[in-house]
Amino acid sequence: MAELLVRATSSANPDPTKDQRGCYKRGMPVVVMPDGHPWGLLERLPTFVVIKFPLISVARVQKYIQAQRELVNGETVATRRRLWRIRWADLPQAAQNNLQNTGELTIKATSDYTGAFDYTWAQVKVYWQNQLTGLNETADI
Amino acid sequence: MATLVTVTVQSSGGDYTSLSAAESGQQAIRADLVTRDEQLDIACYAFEDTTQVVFDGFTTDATRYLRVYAPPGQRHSGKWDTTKYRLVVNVGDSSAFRVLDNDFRMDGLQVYNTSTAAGAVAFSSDTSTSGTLYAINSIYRCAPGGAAGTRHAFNPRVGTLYARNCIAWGALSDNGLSVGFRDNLWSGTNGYVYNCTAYNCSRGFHKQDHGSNFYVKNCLAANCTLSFPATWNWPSGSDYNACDTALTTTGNGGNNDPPGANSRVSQTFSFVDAATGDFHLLSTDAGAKDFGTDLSGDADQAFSDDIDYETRSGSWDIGADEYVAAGGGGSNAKLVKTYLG
Repeated sequence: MAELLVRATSSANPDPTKDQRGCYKRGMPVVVMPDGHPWGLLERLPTFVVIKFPLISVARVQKYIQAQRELVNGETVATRRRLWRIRWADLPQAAQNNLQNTGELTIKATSDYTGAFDYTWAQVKVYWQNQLTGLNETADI
Repeated sequence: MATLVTVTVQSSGGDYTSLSAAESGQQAIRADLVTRDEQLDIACYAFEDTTQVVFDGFTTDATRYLRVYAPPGQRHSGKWDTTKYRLVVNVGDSSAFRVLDNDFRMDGLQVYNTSTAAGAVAFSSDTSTSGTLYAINSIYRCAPGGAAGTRHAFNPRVGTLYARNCIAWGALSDNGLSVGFRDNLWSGTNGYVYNCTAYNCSRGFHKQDHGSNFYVKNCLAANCTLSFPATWNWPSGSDYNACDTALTTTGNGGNNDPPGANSRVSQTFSFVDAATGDFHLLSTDAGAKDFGTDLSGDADQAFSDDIDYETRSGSWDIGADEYVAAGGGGSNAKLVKTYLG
């Protein structure tokens, strides 16, 4: 399975350009690793949470750690730290509580997975927002 | 004096398990190093880090800066080393390692973008005109070949660049535009690129027409299509460089020759094993060994070691490595800050 490290806090910079381009906001995925990854001592609350996708490969989750990139003056550049962001404040309260208390969520994103989970992908993908379009995720992983 | 804060990046058991996560995590805690009066060191231990890295969002200055380094025992031995810390990423139209924060230092790192897509860069930066970058004893590598387009190994856009004892390797593309060490500095700014080696690049060291002063001293270009191409004049003071390509035309501007009256063309270099990225000089080298100039008292970037942190002495060699006979020389294995400012 893939494990996605997600920021649980927001950073800010007084320069608005640098703030948007460089600062992580709460709900932005940071890195994705294979299942069972031995996260570091600081890769946890209060700064990070981990969202697990059993039986989903790292490659299928990679798109959520891409930067928002736009064509500026003829050159494609990063304009936001991440294209995708979880709308943390809009998550079901139970999900927020789970993240804040345990630092983890397990998402069932394939019918092949029959173990324990917190939510299905169909239930939570609507909270994953494309920062460029403002649209919520509709695609399967 | 700023308080030094050190965090670690290790495959397991450290603070973070990727440099990318370390950047994000430390941004959460100490994005404003100036207000906190801190200097942040990120120590990278031996493993293959496969997540693209971008440093952005920090507030820094000359004494409250970011430094990413591989500690002794965890860094390469002067050649590409798959047993030490290395950032190996496959990203097209992007950089494996990119810095947008001012006041950044990197030391003893290995960076490799394995993509052959157009725009796949190993290292790039884009800071303000007051930004300062130190690139020390590091290896920047691209995947050579392919018709996809330009891929640079080391592509800094900063205010002031201090680069020494670095290797740029494999920035080779069919269009002939990929560069090992690229002058992408802001107009009116200075770059000091000393004792660096470019190997198997379309262009080893490229001076562009940005209005910057991109100084090269004791630099070596080998097996490059163009060694020292310049679309604008190399600044006066560049000297003691060497390449294996023949003399094209004399003078600056639009030619391929290493700048400086003491520079050497048509040289044959003897490396330990260039095919595997070992650009240590053999004792028999007659192209670079002892033909450099002593930069230990250089007014802009004074130093006295090589890519192995071995002490340079006597007649300096050109390139990242100083040949040291077995049992001879000294080692600056202990990381001593010799940064300017």
